Amino acid sequence: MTPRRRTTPRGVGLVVTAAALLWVVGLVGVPLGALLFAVASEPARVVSELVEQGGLDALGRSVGLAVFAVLVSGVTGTIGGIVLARQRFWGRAALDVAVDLPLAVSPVIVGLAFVILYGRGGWLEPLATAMGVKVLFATPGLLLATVFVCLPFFVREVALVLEEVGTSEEDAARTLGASEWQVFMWVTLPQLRGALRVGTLLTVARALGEFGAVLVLGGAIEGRTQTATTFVHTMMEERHDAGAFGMSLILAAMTALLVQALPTGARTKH
Amino acid sequence: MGIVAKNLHKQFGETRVIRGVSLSVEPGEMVSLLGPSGGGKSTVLRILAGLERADAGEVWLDGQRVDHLDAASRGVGFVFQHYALFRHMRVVDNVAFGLKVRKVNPDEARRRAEALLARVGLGGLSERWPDELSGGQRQRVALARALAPAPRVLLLDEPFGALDARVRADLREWLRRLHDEVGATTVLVTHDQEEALSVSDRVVLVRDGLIEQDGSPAEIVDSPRTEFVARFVGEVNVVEGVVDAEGLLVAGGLRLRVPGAVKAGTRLRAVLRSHELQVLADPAGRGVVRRVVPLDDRARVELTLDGASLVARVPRAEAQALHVGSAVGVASQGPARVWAIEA
Repeated sequence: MTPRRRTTPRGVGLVVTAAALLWVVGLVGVPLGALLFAVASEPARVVSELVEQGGLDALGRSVGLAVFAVLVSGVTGTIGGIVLARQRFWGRAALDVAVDLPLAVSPVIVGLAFVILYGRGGWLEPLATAMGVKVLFATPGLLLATVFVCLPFFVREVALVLEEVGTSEEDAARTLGASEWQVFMWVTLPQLRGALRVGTLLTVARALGEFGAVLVLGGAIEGRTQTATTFVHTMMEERHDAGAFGMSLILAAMTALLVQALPTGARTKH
Repeated sequence: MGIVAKNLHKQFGETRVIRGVSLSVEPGEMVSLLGPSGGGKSTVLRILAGLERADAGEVWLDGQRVDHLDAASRGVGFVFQHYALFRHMRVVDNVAFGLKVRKVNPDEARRRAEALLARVGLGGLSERWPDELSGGQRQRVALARALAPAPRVLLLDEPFGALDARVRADLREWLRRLHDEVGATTVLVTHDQEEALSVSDRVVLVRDGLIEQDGSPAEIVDSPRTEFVARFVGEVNVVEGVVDAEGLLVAGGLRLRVPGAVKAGTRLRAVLRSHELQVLADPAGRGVVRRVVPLDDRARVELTLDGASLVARVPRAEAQALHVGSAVGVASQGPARVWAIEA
């Protein structure tokens, strides 16, 4: 019999576990509970404010933006990730850093930069006008803002997985006679399944939660550029607290569901 | 299908990995590229397969120049050191991949894949996932997958490198039998001399991007052309010394016969195979036994002689008389292989 010896004394373990639980409950549980309580105490008013103040329209717009962001950055991000992981070219290091910029720079600043570009006298204003597109305070502005802040997720996930799996499976497929298209469809893409899943979830979460950039570029105009998060902001300012609580709870619930869908710990097999 | 490579060169960045390798493999022959890691042998193989492009030189398959063809168009089977199985496909789909690519009817492809799996001794495992197999099983799946499109050339890159010694030995015998049945022209890359010598018709020793020697296993073992080859093959002692007035090389406490007449005072380096040393218990001997390791019918004896460390392989019966610390006499049988010492 080997003597049983715990790496930490029982008491210390209990204290650490309790502290961690308390921390999480205090930081996440209590505010969420308060939100839930606020909504539950006057559900009728919450529903009526959500409906009458344009909350459903704003939520629908946010979901639409998220879907758009997933489609656009799913395609461009996958291509970008493959390029970043597989190609060696001049300026690659710079690109590598640039991809993460949307995470590092405050979205408000990003929004402002786009306002300068597309606003009166901006470099790209003549181009947009010539194409008959109104960017600022309109849907294109929202799309631009959302796609920009969601840029890194697919690129990062795809590049990470590709660097991890290496090229030998792709090489094996080539020696077996597969064309480059077949290699991509039958070998590379299946390898990326997990990465695309995580990329989708992160992109949706970010698109739903984005505030600063869509506020600056979109202007939070009811019925036109109001999104779920700017709706919360507007409701708070206009003292429609119930509507703000309701929308916040909906967003929190959606995010929680997304987190649930994320693969936990070990990579899921097959 | 024969393989011919003419004067291949390849450089990665500043490193010249291959510096003029020429090679010719007859149809149906099995040739090993043997050498230390980083010597460029895998790169030669990848160039033959079209996975890498040579900076200069030519590759011919079956009398056709193929340098302009990509890997997919060369019809060459390739087996990777770390298997490179498609991890998201079941075993049978891995094997059928090359047939699917060739638009073989799915039922037919599956039937042929199952037959190949049975042939490599993995009959019941078709529906498994690659990560449910042992290393040896995975490599046999990889081999079945490479053989499925019936290539006339098979290239194996350290196929048994990641397996343990016992499995390696079994698999290489099995590989040779399979080769004789299938008849594909085969090139095997390995750093394991035993593997190269035991399975191939011909061994090509590669070092630093150059070919050191190209010959039958017997030629490589018995007539090494360079000091490197002599030292690389088998277990050896390397001793340096000076030729004395009687024409014998005095080195490592031994007096060695030297082929031909050599001027007294010449400095030479001798490469002595461990089995060429004779070790006899002798109370007056100058050698001291340090360790005796029993092998099958021989024993490996580590000893010191006048301060130099030597290793010998002697029959087990002779080793019975040898114990750690016992005094021994050491002699070398036959003329030594000697090389001039470059100043």
